[in-house]
Formats: sequence, structure tokens, C-alpha cells
Amino acid sequence: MTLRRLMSLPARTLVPALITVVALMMVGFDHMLQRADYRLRVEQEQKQLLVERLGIEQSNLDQLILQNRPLQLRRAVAELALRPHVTHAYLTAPGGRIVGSLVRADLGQSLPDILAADTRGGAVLLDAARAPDNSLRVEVDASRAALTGLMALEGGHQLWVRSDLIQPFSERLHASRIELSRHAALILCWSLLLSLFLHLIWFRRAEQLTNAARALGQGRLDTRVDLGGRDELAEIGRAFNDMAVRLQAQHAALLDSERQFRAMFEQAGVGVARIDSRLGHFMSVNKKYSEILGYDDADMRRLDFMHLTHPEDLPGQLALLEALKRGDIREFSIEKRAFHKDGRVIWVALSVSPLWAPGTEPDYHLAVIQDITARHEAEQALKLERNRLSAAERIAGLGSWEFHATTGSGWWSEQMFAFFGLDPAGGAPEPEHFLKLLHPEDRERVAGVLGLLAQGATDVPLHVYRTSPDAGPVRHLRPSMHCVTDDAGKVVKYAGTLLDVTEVTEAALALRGSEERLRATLEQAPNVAVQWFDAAGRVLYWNGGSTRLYGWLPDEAIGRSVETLMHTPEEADLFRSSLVQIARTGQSIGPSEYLVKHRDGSPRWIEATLFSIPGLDEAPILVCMDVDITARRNAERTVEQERTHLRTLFATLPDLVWLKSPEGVYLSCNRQFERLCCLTEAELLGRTDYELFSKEEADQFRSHDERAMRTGQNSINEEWVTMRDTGERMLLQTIKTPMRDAGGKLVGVLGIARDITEFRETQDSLRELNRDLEQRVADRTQALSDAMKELESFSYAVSHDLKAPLRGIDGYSKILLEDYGDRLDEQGQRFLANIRNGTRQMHALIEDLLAYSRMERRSLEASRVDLGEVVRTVLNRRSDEIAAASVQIVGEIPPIIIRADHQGVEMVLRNLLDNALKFSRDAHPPVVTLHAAVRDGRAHLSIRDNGIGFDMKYHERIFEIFQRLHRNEDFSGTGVGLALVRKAMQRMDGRVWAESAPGEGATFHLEFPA
Amino acid sequence: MNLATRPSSAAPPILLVEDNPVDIDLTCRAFARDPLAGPVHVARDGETALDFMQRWDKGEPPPGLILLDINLPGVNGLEVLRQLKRHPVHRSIPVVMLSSSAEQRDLLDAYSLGVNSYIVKPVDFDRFVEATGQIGRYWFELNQPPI
Repeated sequence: MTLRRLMSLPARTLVPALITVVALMMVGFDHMLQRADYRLRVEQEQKQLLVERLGIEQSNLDQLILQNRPLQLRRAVAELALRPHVTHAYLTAPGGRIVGSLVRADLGQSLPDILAADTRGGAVLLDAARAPDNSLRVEVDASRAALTGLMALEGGHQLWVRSDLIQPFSERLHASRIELSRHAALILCWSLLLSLFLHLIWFRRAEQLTNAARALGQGRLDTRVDLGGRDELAEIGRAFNDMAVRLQAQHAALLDSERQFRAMFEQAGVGVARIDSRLGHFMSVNKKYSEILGYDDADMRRLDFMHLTHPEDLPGQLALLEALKRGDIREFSIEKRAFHKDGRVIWVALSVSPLWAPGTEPDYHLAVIQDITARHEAEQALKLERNRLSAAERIAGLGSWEFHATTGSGWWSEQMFAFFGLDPAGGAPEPEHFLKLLHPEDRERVAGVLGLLAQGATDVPLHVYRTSPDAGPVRHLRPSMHCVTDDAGKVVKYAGTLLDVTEVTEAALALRGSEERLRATLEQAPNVAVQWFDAAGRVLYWNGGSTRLYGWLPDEAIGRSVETLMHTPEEADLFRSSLVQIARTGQSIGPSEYLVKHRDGSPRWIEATLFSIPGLDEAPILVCMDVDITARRNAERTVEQERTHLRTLFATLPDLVWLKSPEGVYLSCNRQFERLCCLTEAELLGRTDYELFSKEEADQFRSHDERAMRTGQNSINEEWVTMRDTGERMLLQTIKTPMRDAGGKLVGVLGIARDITEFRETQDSLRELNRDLEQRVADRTQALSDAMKELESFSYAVSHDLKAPLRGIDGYSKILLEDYGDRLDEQGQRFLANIRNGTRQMHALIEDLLAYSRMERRSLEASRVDLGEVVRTVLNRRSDEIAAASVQIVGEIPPIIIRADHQGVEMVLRNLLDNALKFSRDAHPPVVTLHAAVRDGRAHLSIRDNGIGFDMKYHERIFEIFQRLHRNEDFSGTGVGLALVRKAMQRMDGRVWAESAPGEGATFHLEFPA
Repeated sequence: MNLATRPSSAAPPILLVEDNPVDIDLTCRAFARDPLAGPVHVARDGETALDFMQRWDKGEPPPGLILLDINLPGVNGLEVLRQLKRHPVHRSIPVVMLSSSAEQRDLLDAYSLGVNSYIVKPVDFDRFVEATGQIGRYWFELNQPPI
């Protein structure tokens, strides 16, 4: 707040004041800094002085002590008081007795006593630091108020001195303050001088410039300023002068322009007004505006345009004005009625344009008016005349037109446009367009006429023509025309009329059409055959329907007699007598049914109505209208048959069947149901469940009926019912079906029931049995899975434990052979070799057995396996054996991808290859042939050898475990290999089989699923 | 050190963990035929094998190779293997499973516990001697254990 007030001071005060304050603050600050320094300097000065003085005194005092001159000693001590600021000085003899002091009374006293009683700060001497012998020690005391000095002298004497520090410090401070005041006074003088200087060269001129700018702002455009000098202020002054000159020139130009515009405004031929856009007041109007409205200038200024505008035109104008204010339109022009001062209504053309800049708040707009009353009245008169003519034309249905042959242009009266459904604003259409408005059938003819007119023909054929059906109802127009010629007889223009003759034309057409339609109806009536007969029964007329019914064409039928049409002579007589009867009485007969004959001889049933109509001459025409009802009669017969079938079914069905009305009243039942309730159907009709069964049962039946009716679907229930005669209870399975007639209306509930008492009992016992069975299956499954587990651990034990003793037997046999071989005869050695062979065989058997059981237990993984690759792998593994036995491997396996267990496939192929190698070893040379193909989506692989083969009667045995066809000496083996192959193939959903004959080799086939 | 010239007396001992006396005898005999193999120490069951571990902790020289059977009375071979491979120091002693079992399950268990090798004991003694010879050559001549 203070700062803001300070800133609002004028610069001429603020600047010197700020300089002064800053200078004073610097001096004061400097003083503060120095003051801290003074104390240290004073202490050091005084200490120096005291040390120097005491140093001088030391030798003097020592001499005096040695010479034992107490008086001089006492004086020398007292003289220490001459030294400024020394307040205490004591010379003590050894033992503390004072032998010299500034105060005489102290002599002979004990120093501690004196100091304890001292009030001028002497007590500090008690704390003074003791100096070593013959030395001097001067210290500032703890309160920094004094210096203490202690000097050791000859013979154990000591000099104690205290010098005051407070007074020298005060003196120094006083001197410093005087200097400060002097500096301050000097600074104030300088500030005054500076203010004066600034005022003269800067602030005074700035004020001149301010005054000039203010004057310019108040409109004195001739104001100029002369500041002198060359500084920034002088530059501003010169710029100000330039600006003032320019402004003065612009102002003069503006005045001139305004004068010109005002003259234009006043003398313009139209009324011009500036109007307040918000209130509608006239701000200024020119002479012409006042003249048009009859008011003088002063009147106008009191008025607003709303008062002067006719109330019917005002809303329109206000709406446009609003649009103008919103910026939707840039300007508008309307014709409106205004009130003249004398009360007359005058027509004016008004143009309004805004005076505000786009985007700014609307303030004034410019209104330009022109008196158009006279023109308007003339137009009104003309319009009235035209309306009368139009009305006359409209009433008469007459249009008039003109056509200028030379220019090709035309004129149409309003009625003409009405005929063709055109908008009069579009003007008379061009000939091409006009033709399109006509009925397509008439266009060519009228185009010819128009062509003649364009050539200026005087004689033109005129016909009634029609308008196009696309543009509303078709009109028939009759043209008339006359030519207007110039002096030379040349046609200048054609004038003519079009008369609407639609009604007359259409009435004539309608009459003709009605007759044709009647005949067509008769001819084409699809199902109704109509024949006319004369009194003798001969055909006079034969419509299309008759042809369809009887098969005769009209030409063939006309002239034939009744006998050819009827199926039997009796029917013909009957029909003929009917004809005679209507001919006599004139009354119609029927509808009645007759059996007639088709042309192909087949019988047809008809339903015919016979009546007579007057003929051209005296004899009446006998009309027969007949309908083929053969299909209907057949259908009726079929329905009757079906009904009989259903009845029979209903009666003989072993199930109970009944029908109840929606209210539960019995409508029908079959014999089985009769037996249930011991009533005949006739006795049952009209009764309800409540009369036949107990209330509980009846309630239940009804609720099921209602459910079926409510849901509209079959309701299947089980209902206990008590037999009426035996009282035995019976379980019925009932199906309740809502019955509807052809119209979908509910007519009842059909019930079908079957005795399921026994069935239910059987079902219950079956369920019981089933439960028992399931339990047994579960038990078996458990037992099986236990057995599997046992087998697994057995196999494990076999793999491990059976092999250990074998190893022992073999090992010790070997050791026996090696270590004790020399003590065994040949037979003993052979026995040992046999033992070793036995263990080897046993070992092979165990390994195969393990492999077999593993194949049974292992879970197989189906993956993509390339048969060709597996075959190559297996062949590579046996390459040494193959090479050793010089076996030829024939055939290549293409890459066939199957989904199978990789290890399983490899094991199968290995076993089959080993077999092939083993059994063909005696062939010369051994040949193993491989072949693979895909057949019916299954991969097929065969391995053929040219070995010893086998009899096909052993085909099944070779795949069984431990089954062998050869002695071990001939072909070693365990009898497990092929069993393993079959097991693996079975587990992979594949198949293995063999083909062979003794001595002719063997072929093993493998089939894998794709 | 040049492996080929290593004196046989310096060969570290072999620990055989096996319960079947016949197998122990045969194994010892087989190694006795191998001039490079060190002395064979025998643990007759899993407990004893684990006791051996404590003795190595106390300063007895640990073996250069452990031959381990799976089916042992009491603590079985896989458990011995688990504890051995958990030991901060002795885990680096190579362990060779020497078992009659070629069951996939046993192989998977042994390898997942970090066995160094798994050899199915051949029933044929000639091949058994050959196998022990190969074990000795591999683990004492070719293989470089951490020192």
C-alpha cells in the first residue's frame, strides 16, 4: 500500500527522494560496520600503550626495589595514575602486603582484602592471569570493560594494574557519530542540487508536452510544442508536432467530405433516412423522405417507422430487420404500405442496408424509399381485369393462346396452364416441351400441326387431342384458331382457344366400354359356364367357361342339343323339362345339381341356375349358369370315407379316447373309455368328470385339460384313476390336445390314455436292476484298475529283479570259465557255455516281455509321422547287419505323412525288418522288398522277403505271444516280436497281416489310418 | 596334469551303492580288471550311502565317482541322488545310475534330479565288464572334474 502510494508520487519528487534515501542508508550501514571494528581497535591500542608503559616502569621499579627505597617506590607507583584510564595500581611485597598504590590508604593492607572491598571493578585483578617470573602479562578481562596487567618484579614484588576500556571506547564512538552527521548533511545538500537540475532539464519540459497532448485530445488540433534541446524528450516533441499536423489535415478532409455527402443526402431523388435499429426512431431524414410521408423534419424526429407502416406489412419488415441484425442477410428491399400524414395509404419501395460494420453490435440502418403508389394502383387494376378473364375461362373450360409464327414464341392464358398442370410463372412452353405434355398417341398429329404453324400456314386441320396421363386425369381438348395477317397477307400471329370436351368424350367412350366389358366378363368368367338355349334345347351361346367345363369349343357347341351334354338320357329329360318350365313361367330354377358329360365322356357334376331373358324376337332366351362341383363332391365323399375310417379307428383303438367340450362336458368317447366308466357313449354324453370320478381325480383331470387349452399344446400327464366297477386303481398316461375348428376356435379337448400300470412296475424293477448293474460295473472297473496297477508293479519288478540273478549266473559262469577253465574238461566248458546261452535267451525273453507289456500300458501320442523317414531310420540302424549278410533292399518309400505314435511305428518296422533279415538269411541273395502307397485314405506299407516263409494255416498263431514256428537252434527268438507288432498296430488303429507259403518268402502288410 | 600318465595309486575311490551281493561282487571284479580304477567302497543301502556323505563332510576324501542303483532297501537310490545333488559341495561328484531298469519313468526321474549318466546294467558279463571299463575310462581319463 505504502509502495503504491510512493509510486504515485511525481517523478520530480520521487527521484531525488530515492537518491537521498539510498545515500543515507549507505552511510548508516558503513557506520554500523565500523562500530564493530572500533572495540577491537580500542582494546589493542590501550593494550599496546599499557604494555609499553609498564615495560618502562619495570626496570625503574626493579632498581628501586634493589636499592630498597620505599618512598621512591611508592611515588613511582602513584605516578601510574597519570597514565590515562589507569584506575588501579598496586605494588605488593611478597606475602601480599601492599607497598605501593594509587590510594595512600591502601598501603600496608592485604591486596585481596582491598580488592574484595573495591567498588570500581578492581575485583577483576584477582582473576588476572599470573605471569611467570620477571615477565609482564596484560589481558582484557572477561567483561571487556578493562585491561588487567600483572608484572613480576625483583624480590618477589608484583605490580597489579587495571586500566579502564569503557571510556576510550565511548570517546572513539562519539568522534564517529560526528563524522556521520557531517556526511548526512553533505548528502542532503547534493540531493537538493540534483532535484533542481532534473526539474530544469527534464520535468519542466515533460509537463509542457503533457499539456500539449491534453490540448490536442480536447480538439485543439493547432496545438504545437517547442521543447528545445536534442534529447529523447525533444524527439518525442517533434513526433507529436508531426502527428498534430497530420491529424489537422485529415480532419479538414473529413469535414469537406461530410459536407458533400450531406448535400447529396438532402438533394437525392429518393427518400433517405437513418434509423435507430433498436427503437426504430428516425435519426435523420432528407427532404424527399419528409415529402413522401408528408411530415416536416421536426415531426419525423419524433416518429418511428413502426407507426408509419401499415400493420399488415409491419411483421414482414420486422422479420427482415431481425435477419439483417443477425447478419443472415446483407440488405433487403420490399414494397410496403405506409401512412401519409393526411391518413392516406401510400405504397413505397423500401431498401434497407445496415450502417454497422459486420460483426459489431447493430446500431443504425439506412432506409431508402420511393413512392410507387401510382404504379401500384395501375398494377392492381390490371390484375383485377386479368382475374375476371381467368375466372370466365375457368368456368367455361376454355383456354386462349397466341403463337407468333415469326419468333416462335407464344402466350398462354391461365386456364391453358391449368389444363396441362403447369406453373404460369414458367411462361408458355416451347413446342418440344408442349408435345411432351400431350397423350403419347396424339403427339405425332399435333407435332404436324405445329410444324404447319411454324411455316405460317393459314389452313390447318384441327382435331381434339388429349393431355398426357402422367400429369393427372386425361383431358380432351378441342382447339380453334384464327390467323392475324399483315397487309401482304402474311401470317403475323395465330390466336386461338382450347375447349375442354373431356366430359362429353368420356361419356361416349364409357357407354361403348361398358358393353364390351359385360361381354368380356361373360366370356372370361373363369369358373362360371354360361349357355343360352332356345326353347327346343339347342345351344345358342357358349362362353369360355363352358368350353373349360364341357370340353367343346364354342363353334362346335352352338347348335347341339341338350342330349349331347347330359350324362344320361334321364338327366337330359330332367334338364329339358326345367327349360320348358322356365320358358313357360319365366321364373328361375336352381341352383340344382345335374350330372353332365364332358367331351371325353367322363361324368361331371354341375350346379346350375336356369332363368330366362328376353330375346330380340318373341322367343325368350333360356340362360343356364353352371359351376363345376365335381371336385367338391369328390372331396365330400373322401371326407365321408375318412370319417368312417376314423370312427373305426376310434372304436377299435386299444387306448382310451374321449373328447370333452372346453367346459368339460363329454362330447364323444370310444369303447375302451366306455368300459372304464361302465357307461355307454350315449349315457356319457352331457356328463362331466365330477359325475364319473372322485372329486380329487376330477380336479386333477380338469387342471390338465385347462393346461392344454391354455398353452395350446399337448399336455402329457400321468393320472391315477379308480375303476368304477372294480374300484381297482390304474395309472394312465394321458395326452390332452386342444381341438380347434377350421377357423382356429377352441372346440374341445381330446384325451388319449393308455394303461401304464404294468409298464411302470416293470420300469421300476428295471431301474432297480440297472442300479445294481452299475454298482457291479464300478466294482469290476475298480478291480480291473487294481489289477492293472499290480501288473505294472509286477512288470517293474520283472525288469529289475529278474535280471539281477541272470547277471549273476552269467557273470560267475564267465569267471568260472576264465579262472578255472584249465581245471574243467571239454564237456564242463560246454555246459558252462550252455548256461551262458540260456541266460542270454532268458534275458532276451524278459526284454521282449517288458516291451510287450509297455506297449499295452504306454499312452500313445498321435503326431505327424513320415513313413518314408521312419523306414530310412530303421534301415540305417541295421545297415551293419544288412551289409554283413549282403541283403538287397529293393524299393523306395515315398514321403507319406500319417498320424501315429512315432515310437510305435518305429518299433513295428524294426521288428518286421529284423524278421525279414532273420528268415531270409539262407536265400541267395537275400532280398527285402519295401513298398508303400495310400489307398482309400489309408497308408499301406508292405515288407516282403524271399526267406523260408510259412504255411498260411499258422497265420493267426504267428501273431500270438510266445508262439513260434521254428526251433530255437534254427532261428533264435522269443516269440514276442510279431505279437508286439500286432499289439502296437491295434493300439494305433491300424492293422497287420501276412501272406506267405512255405519256401516262398513272406509279405507283411501294414495299414495305418490316414 | 597329463591324464594318461596319472598313476593308478592316485585314482580317487569309487563309491558303489548296491544291495545285491552278486552285483557288488561282479562290479568289484569288473573294476578290479581295470588298472586305472581306484578302490571301490560299497554302501549296501541308501542310509549307508547318506552316512558316507557325513563322513566326507568330516574330512574323509570324497569319491571321484558314485555308482548308484535305484532299487535299494529303505531309502531308495533316487532319494540318495536327490540329497547328494542338494549338497553344496558333493553335488559336483559325478553320479552314474547303474540299474537293471530301463523304464522310462526311472530315466525321467533320475535325469530330472540331475544324474550325470544312466546306464542299464548289461546281463551279459562280457558286456558288463566292457561297460565298467568304459565308465572308468570316461570318468577318470576323459572327464575333467572341478578341483
